[in-house]
Parts: sequence; C-alpha cells; structure tokens
Amino acid sequence: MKNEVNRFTVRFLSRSANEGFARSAAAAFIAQLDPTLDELEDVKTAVSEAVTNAVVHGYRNKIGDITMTVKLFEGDIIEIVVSDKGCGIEDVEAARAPLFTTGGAGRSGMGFTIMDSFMDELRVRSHPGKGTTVVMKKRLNARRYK
Amino acid sequence: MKMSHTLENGTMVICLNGELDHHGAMELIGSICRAIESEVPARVCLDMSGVPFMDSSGIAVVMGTMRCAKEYSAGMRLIGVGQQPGKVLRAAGIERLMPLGQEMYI
Repeated sequence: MKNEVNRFTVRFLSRSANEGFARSAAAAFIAQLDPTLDELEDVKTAVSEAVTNAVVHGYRNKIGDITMTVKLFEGDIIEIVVSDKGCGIEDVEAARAPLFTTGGAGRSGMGFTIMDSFMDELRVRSHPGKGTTVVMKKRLNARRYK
Repeated sequence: MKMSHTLENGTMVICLNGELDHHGAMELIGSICRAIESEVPARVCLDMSGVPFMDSSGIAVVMGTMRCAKEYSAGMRLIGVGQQPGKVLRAAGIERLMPLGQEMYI
C-alpha cells in the first residue's frame, strides 16, 4: 500500500439530509488532488450510495452515527470508508446483486452496483446486529493523460 | 429537490430541479404520482434538465414515474438527461429499456 498523505474523518447522524453533506464534503476534500469533473462526480455518486445505504438499511427506523473517512495516498489514490453501527447485512453477496433491496418504493436496489462501477474497488464488511463498513478505492488518473 | 408540472394538449411536463437523492425521492415519487392521478394525461414528459446530480434514488424516481404513467395508459418520455444522471441510468442498465440520450422514450 502506498503512503497515506492526508486524511479526514467526519461523524454525522443518519438523517437523510446528511447524504448531500457527505458527498459534498468528500468532493471538497479530494479537490486538492485536482480531479476531473467526471472523477469528482463518480466519487460523489459512490459516497451518496454508501451513506444512503447506512441511513436506509443500516439504521432503518432509528437514528445512529455514520462515520466517513476519506484518505489520500501517494499516486493519487483515494480511499473512502463509510461505516455504521446499524443492523448489518445477513448476506452481503445477495445484497450486492443488482436490484436487491429491502428499502421499499424509493429505492432501486442499484446502490452497490453503482458503487462498484463508479469506483475501482469495493469491499463490504458486515456483521448482523453490529453494523456495516464499506471501503471504496479509486485512482484519479485521467488528468495524467491530458 | 423541487418539482413543478404543466399540462398542455394532454401532455404533462414534469420539471425536476435540484440534486436528486434518497432525501427527496420518496416524497417526489408521491408528488409525481398524485399529479398524474389528478390530471390523467395522455403523455408524461419528465424533464431532468434541472437535475445536475442524482444517485440510484433517481432510478427509482424514473421507474416510479414510468409505473404510474403506465397505470393510466400514458406514454412516457424522459428529456434533458445530463451527463452524470445519464451515467447513473446507464450503469443501472436503463438502456435495455430505452435509448439514452438527451431524449429518452419509454
């Protein structure tokens, strides 16, 4: 693993109003790497999905803490960790399949699919009753080929 | 997220304005369906030119609008899809249902 050069962590309540805050905060922090607009939008989208999963599925009908850490590594690699202490996921593999959802009419079941396709790497660790941690990585490299 | 709609010659144009995420999606789907139910248009046109960003909740809004329009036998058209919302819709495989460009037809 390359050396970590910067990091920030933020903790907020699982209120849906914080979905926009979280993606904007992550985008503002990685702006120091001079990402392209496409890269910035990819990261915002993935963060929005991860935080929404914690709000809707992790805590369901209650409010709890969501922690987001954004790390910057040498080589323009970013890592985003979103974790909750909610109900956890019984079957992570099934949850990652397209169209799987337990969230009702307002959800499409495409959250993990979007995270997977907008980032380079996606890992999901979950323990029923203890919570879920989503780790996403992406190398920002488009500007190298300008 | 703000929504407004107009009805002209049987076509209901629904304009969305703002970032579209789970925070506003549930209420938005309800508002759109109520508008379709009360006006019973022949065609529904969902104008997304005012949506600079959406996550997968936006897919649920598009599909929910489509389901509601179908219930009333109304055709549906999706217009003004920006770059980022288009990428999300493509990642969800929406192109299997319709061509994806500035104008999409369902």
